[in-house]
Amino acid sequence: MATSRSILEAITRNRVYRSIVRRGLADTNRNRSLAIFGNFFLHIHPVKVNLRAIAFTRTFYLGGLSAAAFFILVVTGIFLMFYYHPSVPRAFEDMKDLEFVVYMGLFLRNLHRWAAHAMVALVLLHMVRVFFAGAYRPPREFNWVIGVVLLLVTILLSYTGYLLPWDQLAYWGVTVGTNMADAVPFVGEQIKFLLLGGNSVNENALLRFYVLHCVVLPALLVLLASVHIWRVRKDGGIYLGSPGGEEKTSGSKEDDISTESKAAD
Amino acid sequence: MDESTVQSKDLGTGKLARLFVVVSVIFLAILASAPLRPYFSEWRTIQNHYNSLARDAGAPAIAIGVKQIWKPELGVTDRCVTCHLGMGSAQAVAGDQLFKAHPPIPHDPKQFGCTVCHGGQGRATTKDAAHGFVSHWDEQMLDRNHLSSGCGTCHNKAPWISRRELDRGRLLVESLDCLRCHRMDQKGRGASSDLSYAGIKGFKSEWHKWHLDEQAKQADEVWKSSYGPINDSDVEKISAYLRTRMGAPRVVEAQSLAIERGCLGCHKIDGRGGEEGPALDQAGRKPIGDLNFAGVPGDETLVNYMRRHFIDPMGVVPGSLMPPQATTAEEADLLTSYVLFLRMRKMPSEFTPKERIRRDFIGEERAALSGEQSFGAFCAGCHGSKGEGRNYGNMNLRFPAIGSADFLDVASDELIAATIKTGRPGRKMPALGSSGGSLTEEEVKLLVAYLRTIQPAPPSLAEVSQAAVDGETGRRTYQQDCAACHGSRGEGTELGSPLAAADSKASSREAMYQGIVQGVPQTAMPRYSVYDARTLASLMSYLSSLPRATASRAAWKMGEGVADRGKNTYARHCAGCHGASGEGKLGPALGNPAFINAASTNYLAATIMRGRSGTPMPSWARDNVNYPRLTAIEALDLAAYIRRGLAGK
Repeated sequence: MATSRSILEAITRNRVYRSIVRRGLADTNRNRSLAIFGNFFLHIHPVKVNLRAIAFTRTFYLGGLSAAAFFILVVTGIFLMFYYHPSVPRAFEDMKDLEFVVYMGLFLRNLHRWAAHAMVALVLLHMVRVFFAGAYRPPREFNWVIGVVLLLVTILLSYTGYLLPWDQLAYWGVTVGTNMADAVPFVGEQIKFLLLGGNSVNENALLRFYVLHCVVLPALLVLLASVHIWRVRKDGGIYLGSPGGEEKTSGSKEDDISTESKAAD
Repeated sequence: MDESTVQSKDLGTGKLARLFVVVSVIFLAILASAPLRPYFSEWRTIQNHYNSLARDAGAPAIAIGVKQIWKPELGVTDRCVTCHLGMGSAQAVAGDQLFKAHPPIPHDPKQFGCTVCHGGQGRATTKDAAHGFVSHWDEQMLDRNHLSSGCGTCHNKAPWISRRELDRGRLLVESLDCLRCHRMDQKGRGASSDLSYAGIKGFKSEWHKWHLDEQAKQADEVWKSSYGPINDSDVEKISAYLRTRMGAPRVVEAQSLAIERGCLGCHKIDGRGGEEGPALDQAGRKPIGDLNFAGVPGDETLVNYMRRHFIDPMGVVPGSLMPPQATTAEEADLLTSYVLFLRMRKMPSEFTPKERIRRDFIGEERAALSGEQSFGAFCAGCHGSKGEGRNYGNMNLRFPAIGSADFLDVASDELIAATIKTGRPGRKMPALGSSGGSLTEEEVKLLVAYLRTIQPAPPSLAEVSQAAVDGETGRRTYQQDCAACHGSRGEGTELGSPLAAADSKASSREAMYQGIVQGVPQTAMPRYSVYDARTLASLMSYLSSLPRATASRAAWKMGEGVADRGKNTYARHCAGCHGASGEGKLGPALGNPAFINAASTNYLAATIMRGRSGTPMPSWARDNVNYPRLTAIEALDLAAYIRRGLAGK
């Protein structure tokens, strides 16, 4: 017991350790605040949060779950990218290789697929929750708009990812979808050309959808989601009022801001 | 401190917290199954089993891992050898069927991978997926009964041989005890050469002579007792049989059945055949997703579908007119083997078999089909295996009896050849000449010659001279068959010359014989090959006994029919079977332009008067309870009406 305690102390007093972990488990409220506030990953949360804001029935954690689903998608997506060639005969063959040869390949692919479905469902539910909570009303209107754009990006991510296995389902799904885009008056043909990178669903379309799915849309999503979450913070956190009534924040909003600015390093 | 501040000591001890821990542990345990499951996969278990058997047998153990035969130039990535270990680089071990070595075939199994011949999904590593019996995979593995159909992926030109020839060859090889010293197709014993690939490797054409020479030299008892003289025709039959030995006896047998079923009458294979049904070049590779299994009992496999289709085509494919082809289970299986063989794939040129290169790139002509083979392949399906004509209930027409003596006697070679080459456009008879890519000129000639052999040969003049004469037979034959055209007393009519004239052919015995048995070309007088010696002798005797007529043969000319007069006759007697405007119903389409082009007045008049026994076409020259006799001029009028095109143009 004594040796384990001394080993622990040796590690935690070490200079290398202290350069990484600036504050250990804190014991005072100030130190707790600083621990959250001074951490890159953790300072996404406010230092103090209203208990009512983190109640399950307030948000059902839907926003956070959507972000978690996205995180799973990014991780599984990157692993899948190691094995996938976005070229025409290879794409389908790589899907077969993932299913049969790659260690946990089937699990990766399935998880990616399920997380995608889950994410779409979760963002939709999140939208419904925000609507029925009235959390879109001034000053939060623009955040709602960002949220709708995020919904669109999510759905586009699903759609571009659908083509990548290059099987019959993918091919015809894209054919139908781009033909629908073609039907838009005046600009339909150009939209279809832009989407496909050409006039038919072939290697170019696959590559284009791959770049959209892996680079452009995720970047857009991360950017917009960052603004979205930052806006929630700046508007004082989760909306605590009633759906139709005035916002009742019980004054803690003012306190949070003053605490943050005082604790700023 | 306000109440909303949470103390650290409040966390981690509540009921909720405990529940969270429990649920997390359960979740992580379930999640751990994901990385652990690949270690218990099907193939890993099998490979471990192999290693334990190999240890017992003293064979080298294999490294556990997915194994594959990879041929990127063929697009082949076959992981079958992950489980079928004896067929890849691992050594075959006893103890499990799965680890057998590949049975001997002309190729190294690793040369092309597995799926090129066997079908299935090469990239898969589970049994059902690899064998192709999963949804969304179109190519199922061929099952055990149809293994050699896989040869058709590259070799689509198995030698054509009729079933009869095949059976004869096989019977000769077995009865002459060749298998005493030779092996062939997993039968036989002895140290002499294996003849299973004689058709590919080639063999001495003078093999019989060589064997006799060897026998004279050898002192061995077996040699002395088990070889003997074989007559030339048997030697040829055995050689023909050996030329079909390519290590795929089932496919050769299946094809030999198919080519006597007349499939090419309605379907094209390799560019040859009719167009009633779809081309069959890729029939053995039909995507399983395209098939409708509503009419097929049992498993949803391509094999089952094809098999059922041969037994009950109209039940399997709605709207199909194809008559059933298989009456026994064996036939159904054989025909299925054949159709599965039709699965040719384009290969990179270094993998294309030599005979395809010779045919497709160098343009070497294929060997001409014999008349019997052509008949079996193109005609038998509709016209019957002996040309007896067929009447399929689902089609509102009869296929003519082209093997009927009454037809062959009346039809000239030109008519038959023209009909084969141009077909009957708009009807079921396809154009099978070289312009359609089906039969070359030579093959058409051979086919016509074969048809002629279906008729029995008439008795020779010598036989006739020796036959007994019966006056009543002679008289009756004349009145029934001859009188309508030649007159009841041989005085002649518009259709037939006066036989009783002093200068008629009938005055000389040889000329009379010739005239009856060979017919008289360029006239309406057809051959009569149907008489036996007695009848012929009696008829000739009766002809000789006819009193001399005053008319002269030289002065006689065949009459001219008037088409308008034939119109009523046609409407009354012919339209019922042949259609009011000759479009064809039960009887052939007399209004078809190809028919009118080929059929001369002589042909028409002779057919009308003679009829076609064995079919619904009666002889209009005879008294019949149901139909009236037609006179010679009525027949000519009718012929003129038909030739004019029936529509009055």
